[in-house]
Amino acid sequence: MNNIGTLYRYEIKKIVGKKLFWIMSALLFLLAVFTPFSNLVGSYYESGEKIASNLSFYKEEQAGKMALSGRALDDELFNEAITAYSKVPDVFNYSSTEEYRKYALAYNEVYGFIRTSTGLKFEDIKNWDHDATYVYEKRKENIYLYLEDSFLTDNEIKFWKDNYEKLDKPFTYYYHDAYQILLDSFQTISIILFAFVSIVLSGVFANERQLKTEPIILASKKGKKETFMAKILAGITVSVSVSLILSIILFSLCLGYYTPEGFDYSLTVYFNAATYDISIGEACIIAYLIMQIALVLFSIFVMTLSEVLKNSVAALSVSMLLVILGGMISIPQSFRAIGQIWDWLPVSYLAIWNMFDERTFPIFGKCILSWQIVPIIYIFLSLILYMIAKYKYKKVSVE
Amino acid sequence: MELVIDRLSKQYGSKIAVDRISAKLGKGVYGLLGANGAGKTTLMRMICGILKPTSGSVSFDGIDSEEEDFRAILGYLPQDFGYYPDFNAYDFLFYLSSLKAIPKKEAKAKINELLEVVGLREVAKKKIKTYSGGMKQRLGIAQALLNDPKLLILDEPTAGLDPKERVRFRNLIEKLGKDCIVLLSTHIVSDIEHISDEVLIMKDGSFIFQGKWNDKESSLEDFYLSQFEEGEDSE
Repeated sequence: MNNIGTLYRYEIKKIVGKKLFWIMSALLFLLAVFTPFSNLVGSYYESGEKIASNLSFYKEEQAGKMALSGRALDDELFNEAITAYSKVPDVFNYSSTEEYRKYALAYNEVYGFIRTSTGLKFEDIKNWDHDATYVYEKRKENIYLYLEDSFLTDNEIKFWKDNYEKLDKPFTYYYHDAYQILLDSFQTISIILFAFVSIVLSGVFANERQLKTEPIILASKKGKKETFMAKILAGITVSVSVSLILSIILFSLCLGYYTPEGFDYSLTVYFNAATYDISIGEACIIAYLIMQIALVLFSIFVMTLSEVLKNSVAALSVSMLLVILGGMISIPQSFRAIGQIWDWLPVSYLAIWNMFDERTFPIFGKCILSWQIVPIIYIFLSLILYMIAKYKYKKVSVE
Repeated sequence: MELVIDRLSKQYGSKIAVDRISAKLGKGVYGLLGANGAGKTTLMRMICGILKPTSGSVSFDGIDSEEEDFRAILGYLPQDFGYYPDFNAYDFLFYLSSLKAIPKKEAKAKINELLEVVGLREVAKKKIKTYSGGMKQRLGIAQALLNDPKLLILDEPTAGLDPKERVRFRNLIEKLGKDCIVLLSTHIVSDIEHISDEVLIMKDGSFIFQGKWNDKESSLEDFYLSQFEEGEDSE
């Protein structure tokens, strides 16, 4: 008899049989459905007067950006952007003007590229007398300065500089809103999923004690080894399934509504300082895949707490506290090792700026990127936690 | 078929809950009597292998109580029987059959048989949280019998049962005692008198009596009550 299979199904039933699971799942579903469209809800107001709905405003911007998609970020596009922006009045709130909406809206990302690359101010760019070579030189200069100031090792700085040299230039502009929303929502979705896992899995072991079912389980033939495995597998299955469903909904809505265009948009253009040679589409896939692995680790962590503390409220409190601290505490870059360890913990790491930052992991003189090594570390840590919890469960005594 | 308890002790800080108990039990029904706090539940938990003893050991035909093979022959009804409120009786028993490694087909037949025996067949698909105390206790008895145990440990099995159910249960235990070792604890002396082959009386973590009560002149109830009185006098 495949007992593990039956035990596994019953363990899943125990987790999903609770009302709280369905309430939390419904909230997550609503979040996934609402997130891609949150910016389109409501209206745009100017001095208390409704100018347009956010949706119609966005539609104009989207059409403009789509028209520019696929063009090189070169002199021709820069000049178009500068010309468009020169028509915008030189006022504090220039983005609220009719001229901005009419001429410059479509170019805001191109214009942003020029500004962040060169460091020039609004009024300086309007008197533009530079060319693309200047933009790229300044960009390189600023990125190199940033790398020097980021408490990186000499090896890392060389690695990133070499990487930047290898990137194809000029970069190409792509309309990429679907991916931008996916990356922008990433941290929020991750934190909420962590909270979900904390709530749903904190009772996996502890509830057996609270329900007083622990003695009959432990006195059964398969009550130790197989039950432990079934519980852990069920917990992982529930958390990863919910996360995958949520991710699929989010990807489908984003790509469905905003179109899949822009997959190849370079991450280094999107992220000013980074010199990554991957696209924004690849970054989305990497981020959401790592999220699943991080959830496996976090699920095992919460279940280990549940077993060690034997109290679901205590396990929930500890895990939620870590989630909150992960989002709140930021260790200064100057404390390189501690800062890196903290930022690579699952509760901190699932933020795009941590996942794609410049700190690497050295192996035999090679710089391994965080998203290449962190999933392996997470799998390794998951196994260690699994062994600890298993040992603890095997030794459990109904005192 | 022999259950060997060898110098079994359990100590919590300075309090000795079970004090170097030794016994060899063969086939039959053993009634375990003792006041609250005498150490009955602690002893039963250690026999089941779910409570780590401070010292000593328990084995069944040479199989140590910590081994999976020991748990394979064990049926256990804890004093405070826990259940999953949202499971129905059938699901609950099927889940426990899986825990006991009973093949699916065999489990289904056994569950139906036991539901009939404990009188829960009609309500098998109802959620356990809707059951009365007596129904839950009967479900607990059924789960302990799922794997046709050779060693059956029942911690106050008749608690919550009405007189009719108690009589039915006593008959069942008597029948089971012919093929396996049954150790049951209770406060109801008449239950023990009716079905036990041997009586074990515990006080302060030790056996103060072990054997067939028929050998004695006074009634078991009087002796049991006198132990309570002694305990109160000494306090």
